[in-house]
Amino acid sequence: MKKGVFLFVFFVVLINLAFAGGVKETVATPTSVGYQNVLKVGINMEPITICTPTKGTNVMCHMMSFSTHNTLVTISNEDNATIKPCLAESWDILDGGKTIVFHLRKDVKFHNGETMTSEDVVYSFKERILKGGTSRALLSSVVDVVADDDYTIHFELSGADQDLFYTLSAAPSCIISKKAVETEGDEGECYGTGAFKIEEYVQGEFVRMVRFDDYFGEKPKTEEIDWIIYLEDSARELALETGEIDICYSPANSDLPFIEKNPDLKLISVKGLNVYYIGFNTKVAPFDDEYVRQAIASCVNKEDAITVAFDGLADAVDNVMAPAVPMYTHVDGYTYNPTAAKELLSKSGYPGGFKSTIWVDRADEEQMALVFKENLAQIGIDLTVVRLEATTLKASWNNADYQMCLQKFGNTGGPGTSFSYVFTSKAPANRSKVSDSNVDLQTAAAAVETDQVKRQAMYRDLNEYITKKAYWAPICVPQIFVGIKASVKGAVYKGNGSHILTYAYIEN
Amino acid sequence: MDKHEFALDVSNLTVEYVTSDGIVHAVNDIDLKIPPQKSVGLVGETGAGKTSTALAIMNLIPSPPGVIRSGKIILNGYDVLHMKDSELNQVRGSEVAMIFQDPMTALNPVLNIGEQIEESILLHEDVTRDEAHEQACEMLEMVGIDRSRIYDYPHQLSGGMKQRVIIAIALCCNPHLLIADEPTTALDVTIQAQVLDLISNLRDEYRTAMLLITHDLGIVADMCDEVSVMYAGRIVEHGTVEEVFTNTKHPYTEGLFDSLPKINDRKSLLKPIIGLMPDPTELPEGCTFAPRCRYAMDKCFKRRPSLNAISDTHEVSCLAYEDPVFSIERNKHGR
Amino acid sequence: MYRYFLKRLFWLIPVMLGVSIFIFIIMDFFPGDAADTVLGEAASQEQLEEYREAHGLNDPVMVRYVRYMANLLKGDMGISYVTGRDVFKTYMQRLPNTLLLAFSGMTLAILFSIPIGIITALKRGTVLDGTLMIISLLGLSMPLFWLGLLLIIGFSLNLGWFPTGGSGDLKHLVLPAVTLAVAKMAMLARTTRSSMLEVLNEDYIRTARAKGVSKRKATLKHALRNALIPIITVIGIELGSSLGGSVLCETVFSWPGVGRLIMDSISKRDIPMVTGSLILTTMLVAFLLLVVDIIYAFVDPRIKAQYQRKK
Repeated sequence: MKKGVFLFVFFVVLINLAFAGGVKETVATPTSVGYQNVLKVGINMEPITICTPTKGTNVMCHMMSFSTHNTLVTISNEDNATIKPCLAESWDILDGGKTIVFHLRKDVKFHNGETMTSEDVVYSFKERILKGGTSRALLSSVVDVVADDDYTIHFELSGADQDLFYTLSAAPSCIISKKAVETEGDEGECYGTGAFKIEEYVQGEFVRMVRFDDYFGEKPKTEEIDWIIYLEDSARELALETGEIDICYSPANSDLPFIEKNPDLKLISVKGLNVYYIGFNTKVAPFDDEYVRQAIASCVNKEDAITVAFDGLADAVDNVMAPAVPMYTHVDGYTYNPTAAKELLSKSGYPGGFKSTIWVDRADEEQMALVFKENLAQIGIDLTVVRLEATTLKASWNNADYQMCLQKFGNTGGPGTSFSYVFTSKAPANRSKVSDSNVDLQTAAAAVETDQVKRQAMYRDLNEYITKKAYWAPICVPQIFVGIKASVKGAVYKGNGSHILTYAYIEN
Repeated sequence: MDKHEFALDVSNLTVEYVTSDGIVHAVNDIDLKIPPQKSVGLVGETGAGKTSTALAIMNLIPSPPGVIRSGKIILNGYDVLHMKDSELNQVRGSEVAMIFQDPMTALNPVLNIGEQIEESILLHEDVTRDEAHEQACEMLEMVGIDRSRIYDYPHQLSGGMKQRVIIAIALCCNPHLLIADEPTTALDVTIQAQVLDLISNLRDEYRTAMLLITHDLGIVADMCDEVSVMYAGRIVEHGTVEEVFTNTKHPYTEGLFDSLPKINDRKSLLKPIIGLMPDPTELPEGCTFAPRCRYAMDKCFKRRPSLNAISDTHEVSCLAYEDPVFSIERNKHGR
Repeated sequence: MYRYFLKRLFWLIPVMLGVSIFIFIIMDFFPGDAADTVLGEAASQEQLEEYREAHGLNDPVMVRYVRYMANLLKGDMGISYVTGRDVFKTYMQRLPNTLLLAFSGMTLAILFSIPIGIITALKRGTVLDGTLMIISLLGLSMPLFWLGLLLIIGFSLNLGWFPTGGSGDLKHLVLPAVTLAVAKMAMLARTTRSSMLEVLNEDYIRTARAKGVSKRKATLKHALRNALIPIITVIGIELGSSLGGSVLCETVFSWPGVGRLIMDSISKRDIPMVTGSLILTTMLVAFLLLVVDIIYAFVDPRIKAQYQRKK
């Protein structure tokens, strides 16, 4: 009997030791001249597509890809609007904007040692990005990508696509090595041209990047960046406090005070790009009635919602275009006014109100929707909040019972994306099922308007038109937070959450 | 062998069980003496406090809820109630051993019978494991089981064999006192006699005193020298088997005899004792048997009788004998 | 007896068939598929269709199932829709972490809860018993998530003894294992207590005491072994449930186990990953239960005899 218990315990301990021995030791951080060798970043989700960046769908992957891969052009970090050279050192715009010739840098090496030539660029676009890549929908104007010589290529466009450069600067439009993908398959995409190369990705644990010595640009001061996954927000914040990580991506609002009051830490906040909005199924009654939508847009208390869902750390908005998007001009929208809302509803076909459901998938959306349920009860609209699992929601937009939703949209591209992505009849994320020829025509016209002043005016008009029509009821734009060690320097924090940490470093 | 006046000397023993429904008065101020090598029967209905008495002698009353309120138990010279548990462990099994009522549950199902016999030997005798094993084998043969079955588990044995194993365990360390608590009640009638014979023979061989607890007067007649009749936690009559059987004094004892079938007079009806034993949490003020007693008088309900000697060896606890001419029915017709 | 266990092993085949059919059908009921999750919001309708066609997502569920099973028979569990990586390799990469956490959590739980269960059974009704049982009730009802964060704040932030999360050396294991152990301990201590209480009242314990066996030895040698069957059952069940991964524990401590993998795969509608992981987990659990049955036979000769009769 005693022997049995002993054997059992012994067996268990043995197994534990066996596995413990097999688990990798984390690399210690030796300090050397000047800078901390390893920068550790706590991230909040699995960077699944890190090894296939052209298929990157989440901000996390975009952010990480900026350190490993490069795009033809890039957006200035100063104003988030000016286009600057990257893999293409210069370009010519011909044919009234329908042909764009890119002159590539000649000193660019991939992480696998290959030199980048026009062949790789053409392959990246024609075989990867335009075939199943994430950017494909935004590159619909591209007719062909042609190599003119080893270091020159040109894009043939169906029109003078003014947002093209924004799209080309996005992470999923990065250039990958033709040879690597042809020999290694999809994951050959992991060889980029960036300042860091991916050394190891252990799913569920971390991505380790080490400095790429043949990088064509300025060398980072940090030798290695470890992106470590902490799914639980508070655990990630605690890891920052204990010093296990140097940068904490997106800490929870409730944890922000702990970062603020810790003298060793610093809280970074940036104006965000994600617009939270109420979308309406305008294909069905009563939301095909403009007055109904306007009444709802004037009857939601955004400040209350922001307090409840974001601890007040968001800006209320009433335009469908986010203020941080290039070429934004403010127009008057609907603000909280139940009396006006009642009046608007009385002009509609449903003066006494009606019953409806609103779909959400995230907790913050649910919290806001519950505030709005109370608000809308004042004008007789009886709202039921339904929280669906994210993928279920994605697959349910065409269901007959879809009426309203509370979602978010972040425009990370050019100004045109604010409309072509969500309001045109063929828009991929057209949650309000808008089918308005005016919107379609104006969006198409603005996209190819080469006079930038005129173009900005066109977007102002579109913004005003859609805002007035209340295809959305815009709610707010939450601030973006990053918790860092006070000694972290060189990082660029972006409103779209895709921070650029390539040059982040800590001085010893 | 130590020479003591009694193998067991119990005096003023009171055992109570403290439960949420009240205090159960299981054993109430009893005296019990067993001379060396003699056999005493303890007779009574279920719930009379026989098993509690036996467990008290071993100081194994389950506590909580059991409490030994008062009394003195001298077991072959050992003051059982005033010994440390570690000292008691030396007494249990070697000075006194016990045979339990239900052999089906009295053996540990996960240990083989060899281990269970050897355990006792190893505890009390200074022997090696091998010697203990050999002794266990011998013991097994002594109780009539082939030594090849020493590695059998209890579930592989029949009820009678299990009881034999239990007897082997009880007697393997040659105790001075054997307490047999209804040793045959759970067995088939055919096996009962065999087991009783076995106990009887082994007792002769080992010269062990015995406290035989039973509700069966027939067994007492066969096996015992003296008998105590217990009712509701009290001894109501005590005497030699001869005295109690032929010169029954207590109405309850009489009731017990009347409820037995008579071999000579098969046509006579059995006369069960009417009524139930009193609730042990609320014992009546007077004689506890009075409510069921056909001779009960007013004073029986008010005054508690004490155990009074009738002869040197015969005692009875009954107020009726304050009247010198009183005699129970059994004695009037008996002769 | 060996034939009995061999037969049990063969039973795993229909179990696996059942599990895989079940998973396919359930996953088919869920709205949305891998195309929705892999391609992202920007994907056009044609892109979605292209993807579905390429991955055979438009085929009826039974066709997909038969195709999957045919590959499975060839030893190919397929590749993940989401990562494009081999399902078996991905699972096996995570499994050691899950086993490590499950076994250490369980070992800790056993080391503490069985003595607690025995002590409370022996001291039934005393203040000690009451206190320990209330503590174990707390353990049972305490949210794992909250306990985990509490431990991180106490031992990582304030004392700095252990890292807040991740895997690596033994230090990383301590907090998640303790958290898991607390949850398991409560259940195990209560089972031990009630099982011991039952056994301590058995006649054979009295027999042992009457032989002169000390209370301690009677408890540990005679009672515990008899009380062990329900305890082993609970250990088996709890261990089995941890083999599927403890999602909460893995999330709080960023522990890269199987639980998170399965959760992620379900939300991404990554059918090959979900099916593969669940089949492998089912096999592990079934194997574990078999081991539990074998342990029963060693603990209790009556059960061994039953197995022998069943062959």
